[in-house]
Amino acid sequence: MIRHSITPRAGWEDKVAASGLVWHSALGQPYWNESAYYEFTRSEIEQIEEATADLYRLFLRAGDAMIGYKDSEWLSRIGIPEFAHAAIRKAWEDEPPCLNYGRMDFGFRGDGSPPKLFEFNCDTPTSLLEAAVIQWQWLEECHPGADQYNSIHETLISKFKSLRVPLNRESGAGKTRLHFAHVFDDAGEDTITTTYMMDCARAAGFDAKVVVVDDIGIDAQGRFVDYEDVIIDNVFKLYPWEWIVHENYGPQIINSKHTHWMEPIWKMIWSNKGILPLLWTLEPDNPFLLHAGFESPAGMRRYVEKPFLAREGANVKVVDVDRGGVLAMSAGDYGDEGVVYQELYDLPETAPGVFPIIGSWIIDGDPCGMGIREDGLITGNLARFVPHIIKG
Amino acid sequence: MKRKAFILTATCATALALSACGAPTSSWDDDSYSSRDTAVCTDKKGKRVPDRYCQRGSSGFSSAFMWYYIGANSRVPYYGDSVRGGSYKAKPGAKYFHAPKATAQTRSAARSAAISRGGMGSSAKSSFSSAGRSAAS
Repeated sequence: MIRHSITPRAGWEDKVAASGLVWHSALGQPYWNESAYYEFTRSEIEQIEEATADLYRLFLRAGDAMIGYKDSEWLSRIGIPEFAHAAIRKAWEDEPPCLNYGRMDFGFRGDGSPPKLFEFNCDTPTSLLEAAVIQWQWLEECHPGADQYNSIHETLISKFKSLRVPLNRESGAGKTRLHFAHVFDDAGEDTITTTYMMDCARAAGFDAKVVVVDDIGIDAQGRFVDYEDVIIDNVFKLYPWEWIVHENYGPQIINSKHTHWMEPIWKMIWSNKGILPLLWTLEPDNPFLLHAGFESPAGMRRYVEKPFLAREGANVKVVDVDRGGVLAMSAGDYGDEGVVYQELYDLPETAPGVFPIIGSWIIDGDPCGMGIREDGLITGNLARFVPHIIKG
Repeated sequence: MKRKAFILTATCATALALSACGAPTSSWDDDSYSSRDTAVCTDKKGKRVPDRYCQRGSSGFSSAFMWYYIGANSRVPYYGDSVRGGSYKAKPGAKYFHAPKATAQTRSAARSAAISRGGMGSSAKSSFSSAGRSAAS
């Protein structure tokens, strides 16, 4: 894994915005950063692919284990409210149709050592358009002879195609309607990411329609409707379950008989960082895991403390006792739900103050591409997305 | 390397709408007829949708959602109604207002008040991060 510094394309802002990446810059600096790129060997990509596939297997095992505990100890331990437990258990066992997509974040040095998992973002993962589309278009223009670890777009469409029959069975005859719900965000990231998913669904043959979450209503029969009072049979939501369950419609959504919500509520298990200690308990010798626990560093002298549900790197603390204690920490509103302690991984410093992490995409068990974000020791909301190539 | 043809019709149209300008700037309360020049947001089929779908509006470009301009003393459509009597092109120099709040619902909802809304989305308003973004350390 080598980082190259290069000159960005002339007019790169307009180019990436034309394909939807309107949030290409933030606070005066590029979010989409093509003043650099990473070069990987095929064997390095295979390492990342293998780690992603193996950890997916382990997540399945962990889900079974967590659901298998009859006393709900683990569900409560990771802060999931009790009124959601039955719905999570049922969804896990019934396996309702869904994309089952997500992004595993890894530390990776490219020195022969295995990638190490930080977390699995699989309820509302973003950095999707830039990974699936924007970096591929950059590759075609800047490195037409090279390759890229990236079949995200076609894998998503293929997965949507596979959902047409199961979702249609639930919503009745005719072309299957699938709503796409998102927050109305100023930056456009949630809006465009959801709209990109809608384009993929349309390419797969769905009758797709967008709705802002605030416009979702409930009719007299208790059915969810959009802003035109059209009944919502199936909905993909870029809106996390940990928010849904605490909102006014939470109970109705959890117990909804008519509307099929994707991703399913069992994603509350996998997307919660509280699952990391369970993964470690199940397979402490797994080469792709970092030691993780609940109560305290438990003998770890170098660790990261992070809340179960934090977003954008909020409320994270990086500690190295032998180097003076706290190396980095971030502010935020999370942590009341509980924290995990995870062994500190030495990210490579590929340029002064620049530390990359790998976002490895997996769709229903198939690893299919990756994106790279650079930041300091904590990858937060000012991280920069950097494209990559495979050489050889 | 295999070249890919991305069909991103909605993505690109939405991106265009997000970066365009020309939206109405003021709100007012009245009945379902406008007494002032009014702009409403429509989808590509010419049906009214909530204004937020146009966000900052479009300037005549092709987009998924577009502002539709209605002259004073004209009927204001409800959500889902087809727009008519106005234009997708704003009058030069005209100042347009948002539609009356009473029309910010479907016609059937206005008649029956049988549909409730507002039970989803509050967490996003109280959070400092986006719904989708998550990052590791």
